[in-house]
Amino acid sequence: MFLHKDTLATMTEIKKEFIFSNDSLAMYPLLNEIISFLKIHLPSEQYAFKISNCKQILIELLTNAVKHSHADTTVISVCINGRAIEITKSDKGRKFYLNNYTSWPPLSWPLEKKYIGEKIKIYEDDISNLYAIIKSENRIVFEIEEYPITKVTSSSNLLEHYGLLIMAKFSNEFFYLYNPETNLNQFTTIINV
Amino acid sequence: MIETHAKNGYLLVKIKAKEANLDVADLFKTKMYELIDQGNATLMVSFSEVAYVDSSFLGALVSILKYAMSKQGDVSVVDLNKDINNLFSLIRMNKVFKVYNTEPDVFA
Repeated sequence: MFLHKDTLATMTEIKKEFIFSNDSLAMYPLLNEIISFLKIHLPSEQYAFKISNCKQILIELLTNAVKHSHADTTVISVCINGRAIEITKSDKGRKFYLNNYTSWPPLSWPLEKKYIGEKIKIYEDDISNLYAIIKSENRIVFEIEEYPITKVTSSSNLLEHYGLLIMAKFSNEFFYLYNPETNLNQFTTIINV
Repeated sequence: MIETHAKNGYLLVKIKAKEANLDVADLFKTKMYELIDQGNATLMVSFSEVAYVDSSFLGALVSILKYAMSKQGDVSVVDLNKDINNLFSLIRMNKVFKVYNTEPDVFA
């Protein structure tokens, strides 16, 4: 289904799945394929900035798949509806690692009910903190806290791991969901349009 | 994977890769550390041939900046495409690195 460039508000849901081989050499062709799909359904210039954000999110999801998933394949699903673009990365590889954070005992999935509502600091540096908020036994939401950037010097503490931070910053909602019955890991980003 | 050009007060380092990602991040970091160790602590990295940057490469770039600063140097960036510029702005790397649209005559 092709849509007129300004008909997003009334459109029905469009969904497509893309298979990624978890090979870094396949990243760029797949990235271009997914971006082309988005541009076909959101052709208006008004969505160009949102599609640029989706592109960076996809780069990070694919990079994350290569580096951390420990799975043979990953499914990237893209869903466009009248309100948002939803991008989900699914695999049956390694669960999101939630161990060894300051003042926290080792955590494993599914999480204990007593931890629901707690906030775990994932990364910390001089300009931002990244938190995982425990929403349920199987779901965490990522949130950023930012600080003003003053002068950067050789003694500044700057982190060198930006993947999760980029996905949290480029989306309106970013969460991880673990399904203990299927062993499926899902990272989902929602970009409001 | 890099090409260097001596400029007035700085070394221009052009990335010779379309995909600045996890495949090239470590090599880029090693090459840049070597340049800094050779006395080139003031560096400008050109992204003119780069289509996209991932977090692995960005992490390497921040590591290089910290190393250059420890040697009283600095690292700036130039020729970012629209998407990379958007990345630097949104995660405020444009406040961490000096960002130039075109190569300046003198590093200021």
